[in-house]
Amino acid sequence: MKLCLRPSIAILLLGLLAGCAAAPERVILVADDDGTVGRAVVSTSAGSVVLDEGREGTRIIRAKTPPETPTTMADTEITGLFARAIAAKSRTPVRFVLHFLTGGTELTDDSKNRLPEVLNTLRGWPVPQVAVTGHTDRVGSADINYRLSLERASLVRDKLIAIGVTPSAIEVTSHGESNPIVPTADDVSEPRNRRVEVAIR
Amino acid sequence: MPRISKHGIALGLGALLLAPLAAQAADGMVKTSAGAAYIHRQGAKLPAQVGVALDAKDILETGADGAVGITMQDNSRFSLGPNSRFVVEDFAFDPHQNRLAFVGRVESGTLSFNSGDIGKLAPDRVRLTTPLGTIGLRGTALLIQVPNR
Repeated sequence: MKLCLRPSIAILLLGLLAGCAAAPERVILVADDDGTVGRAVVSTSAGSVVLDEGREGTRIIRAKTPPETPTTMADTEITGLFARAIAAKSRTPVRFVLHFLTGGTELTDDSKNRLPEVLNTLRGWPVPQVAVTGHTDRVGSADINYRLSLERASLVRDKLIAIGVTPSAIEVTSHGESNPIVPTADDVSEPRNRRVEVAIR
Repeated sequence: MPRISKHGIALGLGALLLAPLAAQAADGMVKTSAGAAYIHRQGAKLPAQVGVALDAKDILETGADGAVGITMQDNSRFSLGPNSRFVVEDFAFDPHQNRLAFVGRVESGTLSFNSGDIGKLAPDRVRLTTPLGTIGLRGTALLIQVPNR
């Protein structure tokens, strides 16, 4: 007797095999653009693994088994899987931190001198958005700080428009005291947190 | 006759001035796009062209030759390779109101992810899921692949 599978049965069997040994999912930790490596916790309903070194990766085979013990992946392996996704990454946003003279609405000389750099960075940036965000330290009430840093951000917006930045590209927001560079207790004066950030993205 | 205090007028003007600011800031924007790349939004399928806004609840999809790269309002970034599908389940970036969230689901294909300010301010509120797992992260970059089933 000849052992012969009809095509439809062969396809069905292939389908079943694929179902049993489905390709795994992969999660790989890589260094951020500034070279730092963070930490990721990968979990299924059955357990977790931690990734905390560059190029460390894990595979998930099933939802009801824990992710596999992490291994370090070769660069070539990563490129083979992710070349297109990596090539599609948008540009790393560039941030400028501007400071004001104490208590006033006047930028420090250093900060004034950085404004032309903002304009230079914008040249050649694809569909640029310019996020101007005001920040304060924690002296005073959160609401007053929100308004104060919104005012300062608006001043920076006006200066950017004056040197030639397209107004429609600018978004002005305020984070008040809620997004410090140096976290402090309430009512602590911290000059490094009193700033306006200009992020180009 | 109703009396309107100076204070009331100031508040009214403030609201008028702030409203357009809030409206113009989309959650994210398409910054790179190649081949077939789409955004599914409320039943509509839009081309994911460079410059198009992206919002929470949008679904991004790429075809066999497609790829797309996004930058979000908190400066986090993600991109998809070919044959990929990613759902922006939740996004909020308003530190003053303590509204912070970035939750995304990779349904298929390849994703590159770099966390942003939400990851710094509230790492617990950045979460990525796949059909089989959940990923919590702390200020980092990740690559995720979900095979097409």
